[in-house]
Amino acid sequence: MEKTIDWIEKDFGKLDILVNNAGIAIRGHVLDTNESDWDKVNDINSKGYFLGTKFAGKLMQKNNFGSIINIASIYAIVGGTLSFGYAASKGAVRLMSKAAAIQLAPYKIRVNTICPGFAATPINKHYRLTPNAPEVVSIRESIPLKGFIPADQIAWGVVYLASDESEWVTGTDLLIDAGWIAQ
Amino acid sequence: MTNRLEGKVALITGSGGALFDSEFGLGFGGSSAFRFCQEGATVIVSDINDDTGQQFTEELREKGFNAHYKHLDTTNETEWKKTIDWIEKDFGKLDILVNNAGIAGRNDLFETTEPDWDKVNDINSKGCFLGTKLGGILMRKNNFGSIINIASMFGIIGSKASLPYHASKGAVISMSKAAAIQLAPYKIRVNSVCPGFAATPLNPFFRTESESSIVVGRKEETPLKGFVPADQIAWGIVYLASDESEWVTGTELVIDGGYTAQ
Ligand SMILES: NC(=O)c1ccc[n+]([C@@H]2O[C@H](COP(=O)([O-])OP(=O)(O)OC[C@H]3O[C@@H](n4cnc5c(N)ncnc54)[C@H](O)[C@@H]3O)[C@@H](O)[C@H]2O)c1
Repeated sequence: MEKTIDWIEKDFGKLDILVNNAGIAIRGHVLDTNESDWDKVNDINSKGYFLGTKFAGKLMQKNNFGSIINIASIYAIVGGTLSFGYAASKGAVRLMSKAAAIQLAPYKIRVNTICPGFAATPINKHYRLTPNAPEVVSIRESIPLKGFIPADQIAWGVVYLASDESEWVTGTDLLIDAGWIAQ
Repeated sequence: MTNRLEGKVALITGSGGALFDSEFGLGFGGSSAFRFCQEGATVIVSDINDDTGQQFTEELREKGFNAHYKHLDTTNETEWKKTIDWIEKDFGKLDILVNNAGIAGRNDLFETTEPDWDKVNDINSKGCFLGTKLGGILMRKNNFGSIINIASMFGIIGSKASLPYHASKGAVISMSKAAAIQLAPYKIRVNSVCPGFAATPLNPFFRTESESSIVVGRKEETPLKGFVPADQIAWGIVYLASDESEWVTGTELVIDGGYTAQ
């Protein structure tokens, strides 16, 4: 992370926007989650975002400007049957974003999360590969707008939070979940 | 980006209370009307303040925009019906409804009377229900729509400010979620926007008493230090109105400079 940020500073002179998006999905009930699963998902999903926020924040601080967008999940807000370590990692993302928003506000660096609902991206291959599997159908039916969220919709949310249109938006969560959490 | 709302018909309540060069600036409704016009929408400005409303609409038309004015007291179902019928007749459809009309309330709980409660809940909460219902009926015919209800960060957290105001904005947030679920089968999305402190015509003292401890305090308590510009609320509303948020429903967009994150 540090190397990347140094290179960005050298080659581009500044960093305005950081999207912490890298993540993995590990499924598993709390009683079946072993320590190595926990470590892996929390390392990538949670610690990775901390490092990004810290090192990008240092570069953004020099410019007194920046927008950090952390991709969390609806499982940062509610619990589910399918995953435990993942939920913990995403909950951590949500709260570290709020803490960072407060701590970086003096440098006009904004920090927000996007909480996507069920999206048919490569992380959830089975939504496309087995669209009629009972599990996939039941997820789709549980979504008020009845369908999986196109990745492009998440992209537009990121664009909004990255742009100056949201200059006064910080420390909050943008839910793009087709109404799932609202029910 | 431009033309993000091209071809869309939008109704914004409480959007005619001020002119471009008004002393206290445009409110959220007026600012949204301007950004909607710029993004290519047909905009219906409405208010109870007909003189300013008509004049503001004229100002928009002079800029070459497709803006129209309609008197609408949002607490009155008959007026809602008339307005929606007129929109259907003249424009054929309604794509976007912004329930923005609202008032503030008296602060001291023990001084707050029943009529105080009724007034703020009538305008802020019942007005929003009537709009969602009547606007929803027209949108349903088209199986398309986006309803944006202006709540407040005071619908999420408590404060020393008016208790009925807090109640009315909490109601707006939860009725938006219920409406999102109930209108999802018709592809009508319903979201709320929760602004933080903004120096609009609703809060003239933010400008006239800018040195007072309460006004300075409100700015200082906001992590980004200052009042949220009305235009920032307008951009959030543009996002929720546009197809960029086609899969966003039943949620609240908080635009508060970090106030509720602390
Ligand atoms: N300014 C803030 O700090 C702030 C913060 C959070 C939420 N809000 C909310 O934002 C919304 C817009 O407020 P604003 O700050 O732009 O103030 P504003 O006073 O400029 O806008 C409110 C408009 O509503 C109109 N109105 C009042 N009663 C009406 C009725 N019965 N029917 C139709 N129109 C009516 C007024 O004439 C005015 O034009 C309100 O719902 C308000 O509660 C404001």
